[in-house]
Amino acid sequence: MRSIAVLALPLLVLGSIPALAQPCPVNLRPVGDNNLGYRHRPAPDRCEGFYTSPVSGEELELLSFLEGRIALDQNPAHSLLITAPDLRALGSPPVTVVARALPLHVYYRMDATLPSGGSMQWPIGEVVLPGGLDPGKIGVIGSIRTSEGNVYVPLRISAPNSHEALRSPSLPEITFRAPVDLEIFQWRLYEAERTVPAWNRYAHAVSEGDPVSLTLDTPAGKEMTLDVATRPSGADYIEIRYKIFRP
Amino acid sequence: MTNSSPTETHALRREIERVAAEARRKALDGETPTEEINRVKALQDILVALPEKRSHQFYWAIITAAVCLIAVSLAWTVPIRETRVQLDVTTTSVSMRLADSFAWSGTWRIDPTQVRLEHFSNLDLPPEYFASDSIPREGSLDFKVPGGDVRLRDLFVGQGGLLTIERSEASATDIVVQDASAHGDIYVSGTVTGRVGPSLDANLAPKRFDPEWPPGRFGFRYDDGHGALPALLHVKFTDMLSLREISVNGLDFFAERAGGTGNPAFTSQIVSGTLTIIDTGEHVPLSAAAALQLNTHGLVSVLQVTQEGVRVKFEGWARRVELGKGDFARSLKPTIIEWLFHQRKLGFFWSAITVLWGIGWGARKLLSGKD
Repeated sequence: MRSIAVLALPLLVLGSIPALAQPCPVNLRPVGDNNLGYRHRPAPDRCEGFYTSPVSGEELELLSFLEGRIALDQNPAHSLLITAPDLRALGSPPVTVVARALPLHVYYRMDATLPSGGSMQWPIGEVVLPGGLDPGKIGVIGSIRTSEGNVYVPLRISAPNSHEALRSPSLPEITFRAPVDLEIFQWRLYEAERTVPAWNRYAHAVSEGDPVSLTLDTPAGKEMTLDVATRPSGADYIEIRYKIFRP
Repeated sequence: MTNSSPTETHALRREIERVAAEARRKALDGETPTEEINRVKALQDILVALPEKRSHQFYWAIITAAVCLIAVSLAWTVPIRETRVQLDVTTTSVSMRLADSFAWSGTWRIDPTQVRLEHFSNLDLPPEYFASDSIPREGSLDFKVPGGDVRLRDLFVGQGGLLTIERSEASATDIVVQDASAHGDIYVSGTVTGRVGPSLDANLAPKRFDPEWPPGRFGFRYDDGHGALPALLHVKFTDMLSLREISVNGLDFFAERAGGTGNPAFTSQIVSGTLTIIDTGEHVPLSAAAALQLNTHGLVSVLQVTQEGVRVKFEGWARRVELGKGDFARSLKPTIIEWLFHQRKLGFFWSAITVLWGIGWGARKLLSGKD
């Protein structure tokens, strides 16, 4: 493991692989403040900012899928390093990165695209901190497009040049947000065409806006299916299926 | 006798005016202008005796009148290119060509005793069936859940797809998709039995999805280009299905009915309804089997599948609005003059006033012969 760290260190020191050219979603309405409003921003190439939304979503939202997360400081001069996993096993597709605010009704978003194994410096002093948003309350997900739909891959967030980024990876944590009170939150993780496990039940009550975090004991190198079933208060079950891959 | 030229006539008039002015001057000075009066009379006699040639002005008036007549006739007979229509119709079949992709998410309870899916490129069965390796994952699926609960949860149809919703007797409803990708989910609670596969030749072993636990999720997907066969979801409903905001660029209420060995017969499935031509405010009642033919694009604001049939509320633009078939088809599109009248009433009023004044003034000048 130490040898891997030694090999990886020059990559971090010499600079990260640049993010890919990023088109911005056109259907987001930026807030009035041009410095904080959602728009394209260079260095690194990304779309980032706050926007307005007339209504909240009605479905369970996947907001974060991270492999370990270090304590985040609030120094505006600092930036964070987002690293995509090495996806050579899947043909090294580009990784779509989306960061969103975890609290309800806070409409912050950052879109970027990273090459497989690439990373980007995320200057939190440019939008996040001036906007009054705690970096710890931002969820980040990475996904790749396949013919079967999106496959989610765990990202890593660290301070640049931090040795924590080089530690052996911990189990990925996935975070959802419920837009309404939930009576039941259940999930099961399985490999396709294998015996399906029983449903797990989330032990805590889930209120509107609560983040629901699960630690997924998912094997490396296998595409897994994560079924999530929720039952909002007084309503029927809703099931959502996610494909996840941990290299 | 040759016709006098307009210049000669004009010169005569000028001479009469000159001599008359001279006579007036003499009369005011106390003289008797007998000579001038006689000359004026003589010149007037000459003017009257001259044969009058039609002036250019007259011919211009005729040409202008002809142009106006043609323009008004065209405006009276030629329909506008597109008209705005509003439709509230109950039918047993409606086909929509989707201008944008359509996504629906909700809960539509369907009769658990009969659910059939046909010609899908992928059937995503619940993982509880993983142990049954021999189960095909494409083609058709026919299952029932006696005493259980079956719900359509999601439905997506891609842009450009032809989505047909047809309600037959006994509450059976067909949802048919072709020319675009489509997918959706059906949730099932209870004990499922059925058959699966391209020819429905593989049995589904009975599986129980406990109502106290998350339901079994039967996903289905149809890929554009999967083949000529359209995807079909055949169900009997117990609840009303309500779809909203479907952007379409084609709307059709005809369905092919088996007519023996002759040519295929397409008959209107309209039960009742009203068509409103918004541009003229005309309301056209639609009776059963009204042969309404539309070439239209717009928004189906509400589509409801009920016991009475499929109710469709639509607003949009139509290039073709015809009622009836063959020699008995009549266009309901307003003509240009009808459109002008209904759209710009105040403008039309003042335009009519202006035109009539112009005609009257021009006619007066023409008939009086004065410039």
